[in-house]
Amino acid sequence: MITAGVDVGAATAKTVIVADGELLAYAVMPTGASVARAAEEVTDAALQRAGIARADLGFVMSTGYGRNAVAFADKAASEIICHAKGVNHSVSAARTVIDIGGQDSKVIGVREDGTVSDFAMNDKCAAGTGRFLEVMAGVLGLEIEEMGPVSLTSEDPCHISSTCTIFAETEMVSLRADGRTREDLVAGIHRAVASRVAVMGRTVGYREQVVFTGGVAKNAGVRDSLAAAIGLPIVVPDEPQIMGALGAALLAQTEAGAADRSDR
Amino acid sequence: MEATKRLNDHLATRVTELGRLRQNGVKLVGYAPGGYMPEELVYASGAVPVGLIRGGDPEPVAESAAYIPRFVDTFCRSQIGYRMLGEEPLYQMLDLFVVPVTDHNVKAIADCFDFFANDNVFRFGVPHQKDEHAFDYYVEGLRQFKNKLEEFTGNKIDDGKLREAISLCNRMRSLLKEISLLRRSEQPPISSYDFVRLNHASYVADKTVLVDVLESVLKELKNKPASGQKGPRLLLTGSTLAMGDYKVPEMLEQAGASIVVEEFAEGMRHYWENVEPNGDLIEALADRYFRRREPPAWFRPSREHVDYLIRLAGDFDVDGVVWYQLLYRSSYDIQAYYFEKTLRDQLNIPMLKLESDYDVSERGPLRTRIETFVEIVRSGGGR
Amino acid sequence: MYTDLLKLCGFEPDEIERERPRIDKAFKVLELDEQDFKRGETRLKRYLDMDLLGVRLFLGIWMRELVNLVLAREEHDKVVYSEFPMELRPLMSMMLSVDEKEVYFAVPGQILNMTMGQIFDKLTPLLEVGEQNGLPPGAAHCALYQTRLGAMVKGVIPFPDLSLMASYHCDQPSEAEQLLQEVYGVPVLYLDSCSDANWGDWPKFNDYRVRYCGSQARKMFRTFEEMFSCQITEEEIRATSKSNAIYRLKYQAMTEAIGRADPQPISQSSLAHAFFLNSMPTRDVEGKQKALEILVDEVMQRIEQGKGVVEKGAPGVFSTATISVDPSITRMIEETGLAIRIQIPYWLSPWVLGKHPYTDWGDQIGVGPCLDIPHSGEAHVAINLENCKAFNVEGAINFYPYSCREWAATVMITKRTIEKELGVPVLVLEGDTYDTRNYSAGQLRTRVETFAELLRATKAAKAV
Repeated sequence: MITAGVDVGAATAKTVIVADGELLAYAVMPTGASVARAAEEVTDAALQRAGIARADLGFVMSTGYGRNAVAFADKAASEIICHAKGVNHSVSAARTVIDIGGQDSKVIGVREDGTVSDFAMNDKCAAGTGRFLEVMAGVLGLEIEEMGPVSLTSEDPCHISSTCTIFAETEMVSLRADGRTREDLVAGIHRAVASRVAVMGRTVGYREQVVFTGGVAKNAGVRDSLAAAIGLPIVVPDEPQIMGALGAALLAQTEAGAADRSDR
Repeated sequence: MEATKRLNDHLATRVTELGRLRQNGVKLVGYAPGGYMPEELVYASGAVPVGLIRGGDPEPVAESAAYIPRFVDTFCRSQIGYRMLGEEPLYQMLDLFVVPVTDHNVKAIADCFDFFANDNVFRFGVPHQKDEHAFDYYVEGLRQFKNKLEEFTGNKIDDGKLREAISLCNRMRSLLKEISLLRRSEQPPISSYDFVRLNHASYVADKTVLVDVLESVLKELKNKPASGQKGPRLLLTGSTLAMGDYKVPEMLEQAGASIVVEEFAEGMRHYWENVEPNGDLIEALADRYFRRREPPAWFRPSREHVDYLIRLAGDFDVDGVVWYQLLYRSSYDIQAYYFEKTLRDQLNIPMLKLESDYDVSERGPLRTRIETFVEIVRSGGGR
Repeated sequence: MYTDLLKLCGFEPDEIERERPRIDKAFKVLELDEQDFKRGETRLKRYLDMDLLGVRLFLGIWMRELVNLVLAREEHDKVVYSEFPMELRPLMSMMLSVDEKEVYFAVPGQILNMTMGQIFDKLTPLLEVGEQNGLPPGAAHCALYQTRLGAMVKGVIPFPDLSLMASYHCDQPSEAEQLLQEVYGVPVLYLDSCSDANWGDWPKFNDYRVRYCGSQARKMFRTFEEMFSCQITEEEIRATSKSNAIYRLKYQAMTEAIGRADPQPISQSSLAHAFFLNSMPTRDVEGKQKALEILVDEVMQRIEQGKGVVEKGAPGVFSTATISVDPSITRMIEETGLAIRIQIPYWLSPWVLGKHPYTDWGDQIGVGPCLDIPHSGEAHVAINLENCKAFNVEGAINFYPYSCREWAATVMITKRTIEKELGVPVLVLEGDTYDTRNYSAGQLRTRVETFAELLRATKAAKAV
């Protein structure tokens, strides 16, 4: 049984194709202005990499912010449930998932079987999300991918005290004017993001293994700051950005299996 | 001043000393400020009272988000944050935490200390009005508190010890009052910043040391030639002025204003009334702490509090009022609205309302407002 | 224009004709237009069980009260207001002691909530006026009080000659009434008590507190009697207690039947109008008793027939969203496939029905806060827990109004307690009970859907 999971987030769209319980292929693209079109294009890209056609898919599960706009999906599922499933498949010892996406952040308690025990979510405020990092990268004239490596050379991270992205931007500009180095500023920003997310997740609680997912997980600086903020080591799966889509594809396998059984 | 240096030295080692006292079996009784807990009872039981009035730091506020939603008074969230962060030694050293339940923000502190910190918490109620039933209720609360202290410390609270404690606390209050009243002069000999620090110290310092320091300070100030600022005279009022939250008084005085008197329900010890130790001493305490105490904004009707502020502004000949409050303290927020009108009608002086959530990014905007207001008052505008 | 809507609210055509002049006048003041009536009809049909006569009759009672409220100043000599969180039982005894024509009693915020809010979704204009007149945005002021103040200042409802308020439950209402007094000259009488119970006391309460609050109740009664030259006698007290008891117990029985039924027979959003009539002082006592009897019969019929609004076998939850002015939130929860078995404060847990020795009316009022949520944070948590236990819920949704500092303080404590004692997941939702601008069903949907999936997965795992 081949299934697909389509995760359409506010910033990026991801499709993962799973065959008999294992990852076959995936694709990642910016969402852009049209959720429906992004879903189509990224799914086609993944299908191409897998070397199969749309008709070969037994079940398509959509998730993410734009999940209800994926016309060709058979069902939609919450991204929190999908993330937990995807992480559980990739890191079987995972018990806590921290996901920092483009426009939201979540902390999820995961059980051994991949089901969710509790969760906390911030989708109201940009601070503590990828957006915050984007804004700050812009101020510093850095590409997003450079943020991690640059921050790791810092020896004296700045303390960014503003809790609001807009005001933090102002604070950054004045710290820069004061002569603080780029690496210290970036390290300070990473700390700010990490502490916002860490506090939010306290209602869920952190248990090892703590797994970090979402696009921002590719940033080693944020990863280190998070680990320091929660006082536990952090694991990043090989492809942190596709965990939601992977989970959706895996859940699709179960759904398809159930559908099979009910047909008989 | 030499006396303040002495006080600072004392405060620097106070926490260690309290730790030592504890090791020798002395109990530390912390309490939520608001002015309704008679320290005298604690002293008479052989324990040491410590007011939990730290504030102004953003970290404990952020920490409290794990225990209580954001929309509760900032000071109250801070207390929860300090306790749970575990970095303020005083908060971790308490044997008993007493909360006179005034409003529901303070009640939240008690609930969180009870549930999350698993502390020994004792509450008694403060009614929101002052008829004789309310007085009886408050007295009964003090009696329960006395019983709790006796049971907790294992010491009996007798009239003799209580009188001694009353005498010492009265002396402290009288001194604070006399020092404060010096600011009625045209050139106040002591800044608000210094006075507030003395007042705050009274929550933590050894009373005997403090009284000694206050006597020296008073003597020195009386003999000081007139030299204080002559800037616009202000009354600084609001809900809470915590120990460590000095940004507003500092900025006001930096802008050239002279804060001649402060009135806060929490954080500032009330020194206007003394205990009259006649008859039943518990009733005498209730008479001072409840009946004669000028009420904060959560008493109804609020006329008494409003009238008191007007009187204070008049007595100290102020040119303007700064109302500094923390976010989400509804009584104060709403009262600021109609108080401003009353102030204009009765005294024809302007008011500036400032808010804080102990966030560092507030400084810039606060300074702008403060400097503008001081300018307005200085040039006689706003009248 | 509004005939269809009122028929939906259980009005008979001849009543509509008879009352047309009054209704026209009131709706004009409220600025209700054709669009609003259409929206009202759509919302009612979408969110409430409109095929039940009982539901329609209750809606009608509130619509009549809305008209009465708007026209109160011209139809009566005096107007008396109260509001949650004031103990409302004494109001009825006061109301029965004065002439109906002379004095009009109302709980205006609740009336506006149930009609302008729930039906028309048109509270925003009132909120905005409230915000501009002393209860500004950004300070987490209770939107119920913004509504009331706004409605008065805007001239939609009259300023009262007297306001009765509690001064112990939370600060917001008591100080908001001080604003009315200081700025608009409205006299206010307060019922005071203290919420100073120690952790570990619950469910015991102390006599001193009861007597203190009782003394304040008696003070309030004496002042009222003087102001209105009347007397609150045994007769009025008995009539109040009797009608309250009958209504309450019948409502309680219905709540329990709903909570134990599978499938969930009626949407919880259809019950709000019935519940809040429980203690609201309305002179239409017969009307509300009759409506309740009809509703109970209809609900029991549905239970017998196995008819439901959520599928059979759906996970059952405890929810606190239904006191909201926005029925779409409760419907959204039910539509994600969760059966709401019980919601606060509909069910009187055993402690609240507890026996006490007080016979004086004042003391009986005084013991009220000691038996219920206002008593202490511990009581609030314990009552939440009791509700969950009694109905064997598989999860709890603690929707708290962000601006309610009484409630907010115990949100995390409730979550931890229910998780620990019952081992079921708890979803905390931040919202607003009266202001739909910042929190809507759409915003909360992701969390609720996730929670529903979580509960279904747990249920399925257990079944295996």
